[in-house]
Amino acid sequence: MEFLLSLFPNPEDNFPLIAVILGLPLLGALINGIFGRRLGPEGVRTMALSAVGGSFLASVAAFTLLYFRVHEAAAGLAEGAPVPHVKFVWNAWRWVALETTSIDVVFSIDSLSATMMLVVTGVGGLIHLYATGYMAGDPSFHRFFAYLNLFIFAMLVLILGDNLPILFVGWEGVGLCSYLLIGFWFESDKNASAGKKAFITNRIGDFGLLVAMAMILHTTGSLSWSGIEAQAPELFNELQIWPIGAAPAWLPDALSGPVIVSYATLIGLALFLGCAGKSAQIPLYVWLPDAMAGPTPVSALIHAATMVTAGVYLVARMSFVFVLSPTAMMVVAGIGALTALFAATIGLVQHDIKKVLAYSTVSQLGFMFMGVGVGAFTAGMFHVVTHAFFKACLFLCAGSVIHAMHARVHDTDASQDMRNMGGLRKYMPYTFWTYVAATAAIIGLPLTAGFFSKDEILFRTFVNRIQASGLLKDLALRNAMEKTGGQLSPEARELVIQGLQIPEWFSTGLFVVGVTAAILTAFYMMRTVFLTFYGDFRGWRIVPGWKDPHAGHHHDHHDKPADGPVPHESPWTMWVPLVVLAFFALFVGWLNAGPFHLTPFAHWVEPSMQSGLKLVTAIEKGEELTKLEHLLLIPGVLAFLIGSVGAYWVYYVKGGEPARQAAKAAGGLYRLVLDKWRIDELYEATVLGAIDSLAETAALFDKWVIDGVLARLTALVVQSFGSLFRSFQTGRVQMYAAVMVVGLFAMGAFFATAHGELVVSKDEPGGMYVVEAAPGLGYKYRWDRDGDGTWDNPRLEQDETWTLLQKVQVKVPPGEEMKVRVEVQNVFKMTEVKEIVLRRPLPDKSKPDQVGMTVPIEVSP
Amino acid sequence: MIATVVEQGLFYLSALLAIAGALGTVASKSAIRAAMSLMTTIFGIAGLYVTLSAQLLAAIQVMVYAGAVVVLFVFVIMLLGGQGESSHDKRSLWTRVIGAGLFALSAIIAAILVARIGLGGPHIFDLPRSEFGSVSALGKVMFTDGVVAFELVGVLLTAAIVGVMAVARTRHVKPESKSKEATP
Amino acid sequence: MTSIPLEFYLVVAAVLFVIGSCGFLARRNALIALMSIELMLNAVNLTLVAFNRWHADHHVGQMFAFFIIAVAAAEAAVGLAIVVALFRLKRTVRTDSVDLLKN
Repeated sequence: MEFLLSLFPNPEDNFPLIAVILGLPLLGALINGIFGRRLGPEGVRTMALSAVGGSFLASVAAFTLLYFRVHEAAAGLAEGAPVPHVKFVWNAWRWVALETTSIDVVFSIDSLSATMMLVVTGVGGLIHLYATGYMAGDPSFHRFFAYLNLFIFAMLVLILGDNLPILFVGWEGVGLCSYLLIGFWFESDKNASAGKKAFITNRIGDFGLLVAMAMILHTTGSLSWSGIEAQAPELFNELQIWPIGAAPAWLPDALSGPVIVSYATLIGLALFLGCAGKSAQIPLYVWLPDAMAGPTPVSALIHAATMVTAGVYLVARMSFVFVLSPTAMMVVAGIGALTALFAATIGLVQHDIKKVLAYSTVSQLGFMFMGVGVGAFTAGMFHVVTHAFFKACLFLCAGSVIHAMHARVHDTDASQDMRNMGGLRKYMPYTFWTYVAATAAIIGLPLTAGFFSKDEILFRTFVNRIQASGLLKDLALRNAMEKTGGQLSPEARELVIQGLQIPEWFSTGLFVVGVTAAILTAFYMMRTVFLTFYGDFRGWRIVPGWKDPHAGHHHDHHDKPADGPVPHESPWTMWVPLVVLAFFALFVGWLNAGPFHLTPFAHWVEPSMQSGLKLVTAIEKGEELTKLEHLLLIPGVLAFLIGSVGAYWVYYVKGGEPARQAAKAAGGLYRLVLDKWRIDELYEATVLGAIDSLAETAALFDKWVIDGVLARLTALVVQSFGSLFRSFQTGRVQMYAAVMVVGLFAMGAFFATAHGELVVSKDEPGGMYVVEAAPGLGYKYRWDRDGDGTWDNPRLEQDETWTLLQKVQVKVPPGEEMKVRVEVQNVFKMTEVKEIVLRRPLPDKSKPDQVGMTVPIEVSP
Repeated sequence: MIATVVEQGLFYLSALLAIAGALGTVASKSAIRAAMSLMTTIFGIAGLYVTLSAQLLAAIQVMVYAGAVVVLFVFVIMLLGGQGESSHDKRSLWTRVIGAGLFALSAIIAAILVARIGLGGPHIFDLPRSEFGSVSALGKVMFTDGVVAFELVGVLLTAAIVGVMAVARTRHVKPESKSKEATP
Repeated sequence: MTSIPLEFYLVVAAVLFVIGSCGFLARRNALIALMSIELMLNAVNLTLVAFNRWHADHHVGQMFAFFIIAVAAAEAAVGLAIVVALFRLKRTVRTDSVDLLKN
């Protein structure tokens, strides 16, 4: 500790260890990417593992230092005072200097990001270790680890960024790495398409994030966490989003009424669109199941533990923005709950083990959003942490199973199909036990991690309320008073205030949906356990050259293995991380054991989200709250029991018969759910269809209009002009000479006639215009300066109007015009008259002086 | 009195010769007749030079033009066999009338324009110095003010000689070397 | 004191020039075209000498005319050489058979 403090004497101002945490994975990525082939698998392995391991150690060091500093700061305060928000900052460089603010590359570590950092590097490190075993023998071994390290780097940038642009850089970076890693085996079309789908769906969400950033910059003038927080009251400003400009007259009144929304709501919704893309919520979850085309460590790391939780992290980080808008919170929680239920129904019937886990991830992410959507930011973040452990463990176990199945059958789809598995318990004991442990966590076996985190979320959905804060309330009341034109009665005030809050039925509804999803989760997870590890191994049939015994083959295929290898346990590099993760999955829940009032995790993370949590209350307090909490444990435990006992009965006791019969009975519905509710097809028909039509229209336009008309037209024009001019080139000298003579005559005509071109130079403040006529050979001029129609005559007797005067000055009074004429005569006595109108505008006193320099305003007569 | 008559007579005679010769050059069908008409023009102009007190120039005109250039033309005509204009070369009457009409019109316009300048009445020459246009006077000017031009003209003539020899040399005919007509 | 005014000489020169240019544009025989060019040059010479007689204090016009004669001679020689070479190629002196640059 003293050593660390001596190294970094003032970490709140300058903490370069962050550069190490970030730099090591980046270095690993670069070296593996560029020199990987030369290093060979051993070298790549060492580089990648040491990069992540080093980053992890540095994160641990940073974490301990932060812990120490927090305690130091809290020790000096009184009992019950809020814990100060300690943040280690490292300002790398100035990126963009805007007029009002500047975007700097600043990274910071506070309690929230420290937790995420540990999870990312720790779980990431374990998965790296696993991947060295899983990907052994792959020809692009080095490329995989380069990408994986790059992903860790990008994720860390996202987490440690101190402002929205840096977060966005990390956001895009993880999207990129996701694309690269999903489509890792890009030779297969399916994988490449899955990668594309992930990236494009992400991008749609990023649009929301960018719009949110723009709005934040517009209202608060800053993009960093502290800056936005400081200016948060600005977010109460409102914006009329409909109609834009003046409503067209033909719209009925009902549609053209102004819709005014506060910036906080708009920003919240826009941010949530980004989160929906990144964290796979409705409507942008469609990429996650397809992403299972990537190698299993990728699924574990990116699509279970870290990247998909970036959305939840963002909501937690911007908690102070979300709480200002109950509408946005409602949307977040509502969509989260809906997604949780929806994905759980799909996961119920899938045959591919990875797909089940993918839908399980989507469902659990829905839970997390449900948590942060009702203001339980610490509960949501805790579920992120526990989910990282058990989902990563589940995926890695699935990977282990697939690895074993691959030994038998090399077809990807068949090796992941649970209908070909069964009874693997005796072949892969480590995998089996760790899988069971992780499953126990996810379904909420009491006292495991999942139990504490999930039930905390369910509890919070029921009890949390967002306070209509002072400023919001005042604004709403003021708006209402303006509308009615007078004072409000107490009932009217109550109505307004009620309108600001989330309705009661919403919280109850969320709770019910959450419990239902929990039941389904328990059911389908136990289904996977029974299908994969219990019963008889059905994978004997999948061997090339296997002959059906019913056709006379003398092998009995029930207990003795037929041709082909037997499934085996994975090497130590694969099952050691499984064990570690399973251990954490079981026991990390005690860090935030709500019912037992052991919540060091919540206390640790709360200071980072203080201003947000200030506006969050519960319907009961103190003792009442605890009683309610214990009461509400019952639905959670019941959900676990119903789900797991149901699965046991259906799949273990009855061998899956009830499931098959139910599927036959509800044939159409079963197929619909199996087809993922045909959402992809719906998108294909609507959105993609629309884009395709647009593209076709554009192609048609390009082909017929641009190519056909414009390109051919210009070519035609050029061609015809060319032929026209070509006809002049007869090749005969005399014709050329004749043309020259014609040109000579034309020039002669030009010279013979007089030309009076006038050039006016203005001197506007003074009102003096100088008119100059073009000079020429033997030119004489005759002016009419005062516009009276007669030529000016300097000498009154003779007609001396013809002079050599080329330049005249005319003074024009302001706001009036003067017509000046000139007659020009050349040597051949040819003349020409030219006329020009000089108009002097009135002095412009409308705009005040903006430049700041005082220009003396002329006093014009 | 006699001097005036002689002068005027000389002028009108030379002018007549010049213009008649010009018309003959331009209008004659056979090339050799055109060459002879050119010679007439040359002499006519030499006469005009004499009336303008440019004696040296008149002599040079006759020597160079009549003595060398026209002779050269005659040589070439003889060499090439002087084809005349065949009948299908004649341009239509319509073209020729239009052409002539245009030229006449432009001549009239030019005359009007020049008249409008109003430069004054007919300009009669003053009596010149006695050595005006003489060999010595012209020679003096040539070798002082115009010596650079003089030398350059010499170079030009040398270059012309070399060029002429390069262009008009008889090519040795190689067997099978009929140069392919360059098609456009 | 001569009695022929300057304008007479200018008119003669103009007429010669116009005849020469018409001849150049109209005649198809290359040799006659070259002769017309000589006519034009002579007309210019006449103009120069006439004006020099008008401004009789220097000899610039006559000197210029002298050089023009020299250059005209050189140009006639070269032109004729070209005609001879063309004749060797095309066996004709007609200008409209030398349209190799057509189009």
